[in-house]
Amino acid sequence: MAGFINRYAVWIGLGVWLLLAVMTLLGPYLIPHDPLAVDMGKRLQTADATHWLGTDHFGRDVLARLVAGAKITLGLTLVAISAALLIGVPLGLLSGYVGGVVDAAVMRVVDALVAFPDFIIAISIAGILGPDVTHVVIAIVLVKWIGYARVVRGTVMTEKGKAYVLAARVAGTPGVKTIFRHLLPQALPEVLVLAALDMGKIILMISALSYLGLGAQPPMPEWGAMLNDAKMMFQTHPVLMIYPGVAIFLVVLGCNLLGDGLRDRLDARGEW
Amino acid sequence: MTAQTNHLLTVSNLSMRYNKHVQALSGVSFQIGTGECLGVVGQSGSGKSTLARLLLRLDQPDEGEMMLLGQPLHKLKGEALRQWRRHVQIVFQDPAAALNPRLSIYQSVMEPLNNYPQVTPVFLRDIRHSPREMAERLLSMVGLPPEWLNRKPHQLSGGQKQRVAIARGISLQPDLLICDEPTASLDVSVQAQILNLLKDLQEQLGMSYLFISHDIAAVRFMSNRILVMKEGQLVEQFDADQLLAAERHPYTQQLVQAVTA
Repeated sequence: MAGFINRYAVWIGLGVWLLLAVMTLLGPYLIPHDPLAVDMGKRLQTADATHWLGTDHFGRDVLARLVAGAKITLGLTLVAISAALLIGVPLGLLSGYVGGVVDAAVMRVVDALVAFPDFIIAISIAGILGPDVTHVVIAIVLVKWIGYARVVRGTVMTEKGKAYVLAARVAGTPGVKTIFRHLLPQALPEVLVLAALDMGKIILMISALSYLGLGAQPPMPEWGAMLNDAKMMFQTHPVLMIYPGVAIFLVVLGCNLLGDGLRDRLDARGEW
Repeated sequence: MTAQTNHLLTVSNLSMRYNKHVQALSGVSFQIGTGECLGVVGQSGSGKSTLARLLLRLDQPDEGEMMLLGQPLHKLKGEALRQWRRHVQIVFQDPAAALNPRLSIYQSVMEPLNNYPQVTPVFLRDIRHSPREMAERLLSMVGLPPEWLNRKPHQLSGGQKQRVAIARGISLQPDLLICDEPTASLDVSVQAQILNLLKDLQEQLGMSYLFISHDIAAVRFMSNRILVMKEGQLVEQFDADQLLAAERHPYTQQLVQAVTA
C-alpha cells in the first residue's frame, strides 16, 4: 500500500486537484441548490434524495456549500501561491545573482520574518487588517514568499560559479538573459515542489484563520468558516463538521502527495 | 616578434589576491604574438587558472595592465566589456560542466553568435543569415556529425562534449582562445585527437592560443613559447624548442624530470 502510494503520489495528488477543478466547474450544474439559500423549514435534515448530504442549521444544502467552498479554496490558494511566487522568485534571483548589498537587504528581511512561526505572523497581520478573506490572503503571501526567495537564491548562488554560467558570460550573454536561460530553469524543479507542498499549507491556513473568524465571514461557504458555523451543533449533528473537515483533509493530503511525489521524481533524475 | 604591432596581448605586472593570505598572482608580465601559441605550465595552485580568469575578465586584477589589440582590457566595464569579450574566448577543462545540461548542442553552440548579431566570422560569411547552417558548419569544423545538433550533452562522450565546447570557443573567431587544461578530464586515447584538432583550428583560423596545462608534453607539442609558473610568479619564459636546454631554471628541469623519469 505504501509502495503504491509512493509510486502514484503525483497522480493521486493531481487527481485530487482535478476533482476539485471539476467540482468547481461542473458543480453548480449538477447540484440544483443555491449554497446561500436559507430555508428554515428544512433545517438540519439528514441525507436524502434531494439533499445528498443533508442541510445545515439554516436549511442550506451541505453538498452545494462544499462544492462552492471548493471554488473559494481553489481560487484563494492559487491567488496566494501565484503572488508568493511572483514576489519570492524574482527577489531570490536578484539576491542570488547580484549578491552584495542587495542580497544583504533581502536576506535581513527574510531573517526577520523566519524568526517567527508562519502562523503567528499570519494571525497578527490578519488581525491588524481586520477579518476578511482578502486580508488572510495578504497575510499568507507576506509569509510564504520567503520560502521561494530562499530556495531560488540558494540555487542561483551554487550555480552561478559553475563553468556553464561562466561560459555564458564569456560568450557575451547579458546578465538578465543568463538568469532566465541558465539559472531560473535550474531552480524551477525545487520551486515546483515547494509550491505543491505550500498549497496544502495555505489551504490549511485559510481554513484555520476562517475557523478562528479572521478569514471568510458567514454566509460565505468557505470550509473553515463552515467548520466554525457547525461547531455549536457538534454534539447533535457532528456530520456538519465532519464534511468540511474531510474535504480539507483530502485536499491537503492531495497537495502533500503531489509535492512529495514531485520531489522524489525530480531528485531521482535531476532534471524534468 | 620585436615590433610592438605584432603583439596581440601585452600583460604587464599583473597581480591578484583572493584575500589577505592568498596571493594568487604577483607581478606577471608576458606578451602573446598574433597567431602564436603561448603555453603555460605549472602545478596546481601556481596561478595558471587565475591568469585565465583575469584575461577573461571573470575576475578583476588588483594591479597591472592587460592590453589587447591596444585596448586596456583591465579597464573595460559594462557594455563595452561585453562587446570586447568576443575577442577572448575559452575552452574549459571539464566539458561536462561547461555545457548547460538542459540545452541542446544547437543552443549551446549558437549562444555566442546569438549574442553578437553584428559579428561575422570569415568561415561563416556565406551563411551568416542561417543559424542552422552556421551551427552545422561549426560542428563539422570540430569533426562532429551535424545531425547531432539536436542532442543533449549527456548523449555525448567527454571528448565529443569537448569538441562542442571548442566549436563554441571558435564560433566568434576570437583573436585569443584560452585553453584551460582542455584535455585534463579526458581519456588518454582522446587527448591527442583534441590536441590535434586545436592545432589544426589554430592554423586554419590564425588565432592566438594561451594553452594552460600541467602536461608538459602537451604544452611542448602545442606551443611556440612556454611560460613556467610557480606560486603565482613567473619562473621563466622561453621558446618551446629550448625546453630541454641546459640553461633552464632548476624548477623547469624538475618539472621535465617528473615526466621523463
